[in-house]
Amino acid sequence: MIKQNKKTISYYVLLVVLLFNALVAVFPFVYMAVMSLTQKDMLDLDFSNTTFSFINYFKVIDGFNLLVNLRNSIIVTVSSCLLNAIICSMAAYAFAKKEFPFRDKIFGLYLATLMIPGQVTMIPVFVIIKNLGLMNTYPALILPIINAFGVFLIRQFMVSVPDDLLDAARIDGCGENRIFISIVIPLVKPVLVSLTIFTFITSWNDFLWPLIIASKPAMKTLTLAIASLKGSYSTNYGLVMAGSTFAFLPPFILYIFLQKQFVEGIALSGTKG
Amino acid sequence: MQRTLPLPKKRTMIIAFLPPLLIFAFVFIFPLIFSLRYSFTDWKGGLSTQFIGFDNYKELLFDSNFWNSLKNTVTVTVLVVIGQVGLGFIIAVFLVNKYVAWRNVHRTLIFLPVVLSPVVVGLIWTIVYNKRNGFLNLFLSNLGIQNIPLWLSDPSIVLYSVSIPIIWQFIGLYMIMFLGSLENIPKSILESADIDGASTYQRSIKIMLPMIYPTFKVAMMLCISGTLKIFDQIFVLTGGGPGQSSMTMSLYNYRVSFDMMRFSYGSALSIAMIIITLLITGFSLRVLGGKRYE
Repeated sequence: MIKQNKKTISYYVLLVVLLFNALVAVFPFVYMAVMSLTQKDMLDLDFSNTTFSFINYFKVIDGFNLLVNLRNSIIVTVSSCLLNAIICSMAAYAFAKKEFPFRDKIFGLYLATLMIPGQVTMIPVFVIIKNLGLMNTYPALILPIINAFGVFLIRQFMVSVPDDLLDAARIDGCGENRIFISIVIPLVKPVLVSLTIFTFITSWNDFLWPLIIASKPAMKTLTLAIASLKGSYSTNYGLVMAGSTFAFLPPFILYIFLQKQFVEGIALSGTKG
Repeated sequence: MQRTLPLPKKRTMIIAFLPPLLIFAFVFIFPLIFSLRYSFTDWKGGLSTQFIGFDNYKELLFDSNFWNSLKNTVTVTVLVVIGQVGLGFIIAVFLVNKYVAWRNVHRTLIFLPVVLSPVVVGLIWTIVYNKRNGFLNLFLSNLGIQNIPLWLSDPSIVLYSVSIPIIWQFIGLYMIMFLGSLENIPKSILESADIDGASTYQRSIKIMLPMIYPTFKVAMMLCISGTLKIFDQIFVLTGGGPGQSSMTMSLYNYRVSFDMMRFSYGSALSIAMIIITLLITGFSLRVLGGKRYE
């Protein structure tokens, strides 16, 4: 490979290969964004006679009420992130720091559910939701996002919080709630951030579950709504790409700002898994 | 574990445990039991339900569409595992070199598709693959290539065409996982390999790969179990078509359950899917678990 501080030919070859990789990774998105600004029906890269405008965005957002779908997506994503963080950290605290009968057996059961693929529970959960009259509601979209992965992830971190620290707080007269909120939660904050990013990606990008549960156009999430653009505008590529860009922007912007946390969150779940 | 902490009050325990346990039971345990129960009935979403024993499972044994979907799923999984884990490893080996310029830029860009919605990815690639005036075909015909295949409508190649966007989207995920462990390999080991005159290939396959084998194993298992339930991209790209030629198990299950409303047969399919998934992942774990590198 490359020796220290010596820029050989292989260095430049490597750089070109890597740049090519990065280009392949990004090009389709650039292509999407550029196409969304044109009215072309040829999908090539010859833009000599084209005018760029945002007209596709106005058309698709008005014509398809995408703002309603955006609102749905935001409500669903924010609530599932909050709920997942709260419920998982509470359960994880009990599993990590409380002693009670059958603790490890219950935790084992919890983990076992991670093995069950979502498709297996899809029909029964759909039936339960339907019988509860929750079809086309936010709770139906939010509740199934919660899963044992978060409990597992946070518990791994809470175990390493020293018991002495909690005992010291108890001696100082700290109540259980206070210990949990003011001592344990701040200590596991990095992993909570990772979990929240994970929940955000899962929830925002979720497709199969909303497809089943949200049949009314007004309850569709953004991801679901743009998938139906393909059928409606199969030849108007500019409109489909404008819709895609619109759905692409929120995760993209977050990724740009929270890049480090995104990458850490993924690496964490990879190496701990 | 030593008992230094007092047992919490009953009330605290109930408050702490009730909500997660309820949701847990609601989302996982009941459904699993219900799924089993439905699979022994002829329920179609209406009021009448009859217990029909193993009839659904008998039907499944002779359902050529199901076996076809299993074959497609396995094909896609093999392609995707080779593509994602393989390319992810190669790029990570390139990137781990400290003297590469703009490492963070490469990392950020290659990771970008991972965070985005598979639906958006599917839509973009539909347009890239478009047969009359898609970008790919125009590009190839400008290169002077004749007889460009119909990427998404030719049954003999459609499985390859749908695998490419899936591979492309998640290379970054595996690259990041490998990069994390490659950076932890002690410098002295790599230096002594250099002194002994190891080539780049030997260095990567004979030293780096064994050193990060635990991560490699996790990556393989994540990739296999994730791809066995692939749905979104293929739903958007082809919807399982043309005919049944890109139908995967999840897609077929969705069609049976929610297009034909055959919940009972869909449940039997789900149970079959779990068993198949467990068999495949169990087998892979066995193959990977050998102490070859330890």
